[in-house]
Amino acid sequence: MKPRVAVLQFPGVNCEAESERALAGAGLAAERIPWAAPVTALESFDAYLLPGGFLYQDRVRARAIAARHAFLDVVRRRAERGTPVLGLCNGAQVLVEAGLVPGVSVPSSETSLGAALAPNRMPGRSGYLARWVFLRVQDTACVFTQAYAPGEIVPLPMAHGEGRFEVHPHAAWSSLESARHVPFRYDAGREASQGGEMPRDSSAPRTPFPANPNGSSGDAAAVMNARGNVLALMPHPERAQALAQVPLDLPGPWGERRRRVLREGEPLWSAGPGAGIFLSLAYALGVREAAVAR
Amino acid sequence: MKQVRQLVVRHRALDPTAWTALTALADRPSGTRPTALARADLWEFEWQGAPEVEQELSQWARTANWFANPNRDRATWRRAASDATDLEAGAALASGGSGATGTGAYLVTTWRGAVRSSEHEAAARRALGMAVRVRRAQVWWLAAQGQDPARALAEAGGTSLGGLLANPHSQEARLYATSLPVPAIEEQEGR
Repeated sequence: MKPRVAVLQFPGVNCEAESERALAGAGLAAERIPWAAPVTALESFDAYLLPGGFLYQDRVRARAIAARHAFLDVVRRRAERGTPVLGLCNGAQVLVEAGLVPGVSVPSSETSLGAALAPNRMPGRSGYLARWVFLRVQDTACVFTQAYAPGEIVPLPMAHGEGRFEVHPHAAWSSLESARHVPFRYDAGREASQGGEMPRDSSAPRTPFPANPNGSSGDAAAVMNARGNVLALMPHPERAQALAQVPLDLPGPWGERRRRVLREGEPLWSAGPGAGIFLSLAYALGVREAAVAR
Repeated sequence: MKQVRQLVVRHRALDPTAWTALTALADRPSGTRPTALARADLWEFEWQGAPEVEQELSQWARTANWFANPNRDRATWRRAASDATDLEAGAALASGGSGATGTGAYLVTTWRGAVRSSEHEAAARRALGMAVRVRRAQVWWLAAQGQDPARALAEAGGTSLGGLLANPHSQEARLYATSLPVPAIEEQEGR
């Protein structure tokens, strides 16, 4: 029997169908749970996925209302027991607002460290931005990155207006960094310079716009909890689950693979760069035979 | 001499965001129960020099579509704390409908490091030929019959889990218990 993953459907979600396809491709059984279902319907799942969208029309702040839904009490309780939880884009915002990530304490402080996803900070413009970005996989204990090699570059599409990871005070960002809570960072892609002097303020973006598309602290594209079983990821791996979804003009190895399809007939619907997120989850849940392979 | 004026921009019709926030606050297991909640965009204009510029600035701010959509919004120009905000009239009511009377408290929220708007300042410079500092925020007005509205707002804008109206990790919130002063938006330095 396949492990069961609950796909939480709040009003305004718009990525549930492709999220379910990505889970199915990894050998998992996805089950959509609408917001009005009884809370007990969530109890028996092996993992939880919060897809992207515009939950509750982004009223008050993107994610502010959904983060207070009773479903999150169940998800929080299960996450504390080690059940994997993945939030993508607006779903990531919900996990951050609800305090499931980063879920760590600040040394010399009585309060737990909270993070927020603030409006994008971009030179000469403001608001919503959609484009492909490159993420570099960090060496962490994250459940959702085990199919990738540390240092691997993963191109994914992003589309958001409030995606800038932020902690207050900024000095606390180093706590997250040193505890390896950042499994993906924005990167300039294969042309990225290696090494170099780090900024004195560890929370400052190191990668310029548009490679870091929102001015996120420490170039963070994702933040996870201490145990590594809860991941809040702003870009959309479900929109890059198949090679067919990779743009033909994308630079780097994934773009080259996509172009090779035209020349040599590589299967168009083989795994794309985002499939590794879902394959990692499947592997953690004991699945050894996925429909797609990396 | 420094001059500061305010523009309060609220929906003419019932604001769905205020209504949703009011419902969410009412659904909390504990805490003060608000009876009315209103929300508006709050803009502040600051310039040095003669107050005679005010009429031209007010006219531009109300009509230039940079701050208010006249088909959707109602904009109120303010010079002092004693001027009406018109927020009560647009408030969502816990009992249903909209339009409150009586007293309430104000909460002004800003995104940290994003109080001034360079786009709006550039637009003002082009339109008026003068330097105007433009600050932006959201203002919430809350009434809680028989209870202290300031306390209710403090709860709603407090900690990260309870702080529906302001997330303390990325936003600043300032509470005004009786009236909305001019100016009411604080500029913070840094990110």
